[in-house]
Order: sequence, then structure tokens, then C-alpha cells
Amino acid sequence: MGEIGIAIRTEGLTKVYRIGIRGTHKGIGDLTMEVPEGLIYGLVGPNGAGKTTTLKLLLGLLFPTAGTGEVLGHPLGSSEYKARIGYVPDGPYFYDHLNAPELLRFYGTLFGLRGPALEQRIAELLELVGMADRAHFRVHEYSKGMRQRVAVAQALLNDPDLIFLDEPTAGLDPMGAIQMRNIVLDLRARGKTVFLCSHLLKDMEPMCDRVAIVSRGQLKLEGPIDEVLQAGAGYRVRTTGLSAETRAKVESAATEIVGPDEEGVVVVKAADQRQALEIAGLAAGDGSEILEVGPDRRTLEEVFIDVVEGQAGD
Amino acid sequence: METKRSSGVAARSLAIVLGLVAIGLVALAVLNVGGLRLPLGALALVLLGLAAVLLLQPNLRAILRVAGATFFEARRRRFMNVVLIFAVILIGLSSFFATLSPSAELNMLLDVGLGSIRLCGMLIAVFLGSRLIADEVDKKTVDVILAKPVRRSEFVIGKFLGAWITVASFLVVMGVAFFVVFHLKAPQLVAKAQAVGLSLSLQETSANVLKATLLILFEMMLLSSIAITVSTVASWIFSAVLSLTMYFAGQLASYFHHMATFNDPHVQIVNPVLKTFSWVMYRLIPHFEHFDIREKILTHDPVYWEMVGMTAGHGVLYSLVLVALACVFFSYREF
Ligand SMILES: Nc1ncnc2c1ncn2[C@@H]1O[C@H](COP(=O)(O)OP(=O)(O)OP(=O)(O)O)[C@@H](O)[C@H]1O
Ligand SMILES: [Mg+2]
Repeated sequence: MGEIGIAIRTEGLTKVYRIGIRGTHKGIGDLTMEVPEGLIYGLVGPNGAGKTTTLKLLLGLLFPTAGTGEVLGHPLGSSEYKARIGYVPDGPYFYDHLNAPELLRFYGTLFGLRGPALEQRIAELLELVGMADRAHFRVHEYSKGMRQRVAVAQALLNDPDLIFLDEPTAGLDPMGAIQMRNIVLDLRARGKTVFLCSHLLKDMEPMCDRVAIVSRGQLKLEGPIDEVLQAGAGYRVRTTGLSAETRAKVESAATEIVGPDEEGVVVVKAADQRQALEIAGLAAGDGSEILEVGPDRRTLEEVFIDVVEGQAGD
Repeated sequence: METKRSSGVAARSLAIVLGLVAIGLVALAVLNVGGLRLPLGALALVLLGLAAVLLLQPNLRAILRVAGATFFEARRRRFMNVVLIFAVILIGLSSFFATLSPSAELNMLLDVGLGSIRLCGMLIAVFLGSRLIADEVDKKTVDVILAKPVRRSEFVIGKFLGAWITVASFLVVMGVAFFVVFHLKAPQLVAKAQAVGLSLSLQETSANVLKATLLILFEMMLLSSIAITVSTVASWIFSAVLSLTMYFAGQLASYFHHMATFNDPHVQIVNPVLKTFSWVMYRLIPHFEHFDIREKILTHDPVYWEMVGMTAGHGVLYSLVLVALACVFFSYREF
């Protein structure tokens, strides 16, 4: 009681695909992880890293070659936890000839929902995903983003405790992406666990509480997002219009000077806050524009590139 | 919690009792007590089914929903409707054959009409059956369903039910179309035949049409079951080809039987390999031949309801075994 539960636990989870008679191909290898309840957990990695494979293992759509796992306290693939989860597949497909309410009604009855309660739930969800006014369209008339929205509605029918989303923002317009983020944040606010897979790092970074970076079927890095992004305790100053003299002046206080990039932005890194402010003062005094002074927190993209490129040699 | 657990225990004990009674019945059926082999066997099967339901506690509503969705989806397939229209046209045409003798004309009507139903039923059963699950896998719609609280076996059983309902509904439509054509044409033909002294009864012929249509219905349910079962392990094309092959091999059931039991000491032309092959084919492949009673109808052989029942029962039993096999195969599939 009071202790934070574990929503997903895997141990040495491995999937080796069989190709033809003798060929094999590693989907994911030796994945050991724990996803605490009530968090937004992001599984990120380049194309073919094994994200979808991991998700399908967790859903029991694939069987592990080795290793074990548990979802909501039940072994992988058991039908015990299915009533408490939601799943938004990558590039979802549905029965073409149905419209959104018919589709949701079909899936709803699979959860044992029925009658006015189901109808009300369907109306709420169509409203939530912004499809209420296009509900009468048949699924084959939908755009990719519209299908994605219906996929989200479908996954929320049973008010799941744990929801799996595979590339949830793929195909969504900016408004759709923001709505998606709000839905995910709202789920967390209500104590639900969200398991996200994506390579759209800019969408993932502000949402995730914890991330795991996988590449070529291997877990490379895992931890709370702040730890992952905060490589050192340093500070940085982002400026533009830094002249050569000013650059020479700040050099002594800086630990590293990066840039200028194609937009003329120079990042001056410093060991602590005091030195960072000193650098900013010098630069501002010489007429440079200060864009930002703050902790030297890397973006998820930078960490990702480091991790993924770091293995290029192996 | 308590009540749920105790009801679970009660269900399990009841299932065990039913299972034991069923085993006893199977023993009695094997001994053929009172000559009641078939009824005893059938009763045992029903009890075993009940026991399985109690033990596994399938989500019946989910099964029915999958079946319903399958039916409504199948009804929209263009292929199915094209075949149906084709069938109705053929059935209509069967009444336009005019020959010299009324009894020959009646035979033509029966032969072409029932033959069209059988041919089109076969196309529907094979192509619907082999595509049902394959399409769900190809379109990945199965992923979403299996992530819901629906067991794989429930999904498969729902698909079978849906396929049977669809096949049956199409056959009912074709059957009704033929019955209409038959009743527009047959009374005059029978009257003319009776006038020239042939003993033909309209009532008996109508009953025969009903029997033949019913048998085609069971035959096509069985054929669709074969197609579904094969499609759980192979591509839909392979499944369609294999089901068609089995269908045509099943027309040769009595030939295989003849080869397998050929035992004339004076003739030594049958080699043992062929003999074994024939025996295996005879035992393994459903005897589709027996579902076709046109020959009997045309030659005025009597067709007894008992025989219709036995043949239909053969089809149902075979189909149920296929459902069980398909559930096992499907439980190993990955998506
Ligand atoms: N059915 C399959 N048979 C064989 N190999 C497969 C199969 N599915 C995936 N793979 C391989 O497994 C690896 C992981 O694939 P997976 O789909 O999990 O990647 P992903 O991280 O989801 O990529 P993406 O970002 O493109 O969705 C890839 O190298 C892929 O080629
Ligand atoms: Mg993927």
C-alpha cells in the first residue's frame, strides 16, 4: 500500500524473427525494464529499432523467443490484463465499411459495454478526439490523421489503466498533436500509465517522465527524462552576433564554445551559473543578442544522436 | 470474490461430471449398445461440448459479436454478390430448357438448378472461408481485436460462426430462388408426364429439392470450415487451392474406398502404395460425394431423411473437429 506499483516488467525479453527456413533477424534482444505505474514512459529509437516488436510482445501478439514479462501483474499474452489496457497501433486499420460510431460500438461490446452507457461513452470519445462532426464518414473515407484519432478513441473505450501508443502523433496535424498530448497528460493526471513508442523526439520530450532509447534491438539508455537530458551540471548561454573580440574575451570563462550554426547562434558553455551570467554580461555589453541563459540541458534529439551514433562502430 | 470463486468450483465439478458421463456414453456407443451407436455418440459430443464451455467459460457475447461483424462484412464483399447474382441468373435459365419429353425437361430443371446452387455455393464457401482470417491478418485489424479481452479461440470460433451464417444465408437465397422457379415450372411438367403414364409425384420431387438444398448447405459449411482452418496456417491462395482439391477429391470418396478395399486374389494390379494412399484419402477427406443426391433424384432412387441426417451429421462433426484444429493452429500465430 502506498508503494508505487509496476505496470510493466520485462526480463531478458528477446524476439528473434525467423525469415525463410534458416534466416533469423533480431527484433529486440535481452530487454529488461520496469515501467512504474502512473508515468508516461517513452520508448524511442530509430526505424527498425524494435519498438513495435516490444509492444507486440507486451500485447501477446508476438511470442518471445526468450525472456519473460508481466503486464499489470499478469504474464505476457494472458487475456487477464486485456480488459484493463488500450492499444493504438501504428498506422491503424479498421473495418472499412463501418463508420466511427459503429466501429466503436463493435469494440465496446468486446469489452462487455452495452446500452446507453456505451452510447454515451462513444459520444464522449468522439468529442474528445475531435471527430464528433465527422462521425458519419466511413472509415475508408478517412484521412490518416482521422484514422489515428479513431484509433485513440477505440483505445480509451474501457477507460484503461495502461495504454500503449505506437507512433501516436504520426499523421496528425499540429492541432492533432497538441490534442494528443493533452489526452496523454490527462491520462497521467488521472493516475493512468502511458507507454509511448515513437521516433518523433520533439513530440516525446515534453511528455515523457521516463525514456528508454533502443537501437538495433538493444536497450541503450534508460532513466528519468531529467537525468537522461541533464548530462552535466553545467550552464550555457545562447547568443547571436557574437563578434570575434567578444568571443576571445569570454573564452577564459567558458568551458566550450559551439557554433556559430547556420543561423549564427553560438552556444557558450560554462561550469556554473555565476560564470554563465558573467559571459552573458560580457556578450550583451558588446552588443550581442542573448537568446537564453540556463542549465545546459541537452535535447532528447541530441542525446538520441549521441547514443545511436555512438554504436556506429560496433 | 467469494461467490465468483465458488461458482467457478461448481462449474468445474459439473464439467468433470459431464465429461465422465460423456466418456461412459462413448464406451456404450463403441459397444453399440441397443444399436444406438449414433445417438449415444451424438449425446456424448453434446455433453463434451457443454463441459468445454463450463471449463473454458468462453465470452459468448464476444464470439457472437465477431460472428455478426463477419457476417455483415462478408455481405458487402463484391465477389460474393457477383456470385449470388450469377447463381440467380443460372437458376432462372434452368427453366428455359425445352426438350421433347416433359420428364427430361424436369430432370434438366433439377440438374441445372441444383448444380448451379452447388457450384456457386462452392465458390462462396471456398473464397469466403479462405479470406476471412487472412484479410484480418493482412489488414492488421486482428491486432486491435486481440488486444481486447477476446481470446484467440473466441475470435476463431466467431469467424467460423460468421462464415456459416453467411454461407447459409446465401444458400437460402439461392434455394428460395430455385424453389420459386421450380414451382412455376414443375407442376405442368409433372402433370404432362403423368398424362403420358409416368409415375411422378410433385410432392416427392419438391421434398427431394429441399433435401438436396439442405445437403448442399451442410456441404458448403463443411467446405468453408476446411478453407478457414487451412488459412490459419497458410496463405489464402494456398487455402483456396487446397480446399478445392479436397472438394474434388471428396467426390471420389467411393473410388478411394473401392481401391483401398480391393481384394481380388486373381488380380494383382493394385500396388500397396496406391492402396494405402487410397485408404488414407478415404479416411481423411470428407465424403463430399454423399452430399450430392442429384443422381439419386434423377434416377428416382428414394432419398431417405435418415440418410440426409447422417450425411449432414458427418459434415457437422467434421466441421467441429476443424474448428478445434483451427483454434489450436491460430493460438500459435504471430501478428
Ligand atoms: N514480421 C517480421 N519478420 C521479420 N522481421 C521483422 C518483422 N517485423 C519486424 N522485423 C524486423 O525487426 C526489427 C524491429 O522492427 P520494429 O517494427 O520493431 O521496429 P520499430 O522500432 O517499430 O521501427 P519503426 O520506427 O519503423 O516503426 C526490424 O529490423 C525489422 O526489420
Ligand atoms: Mg514501429
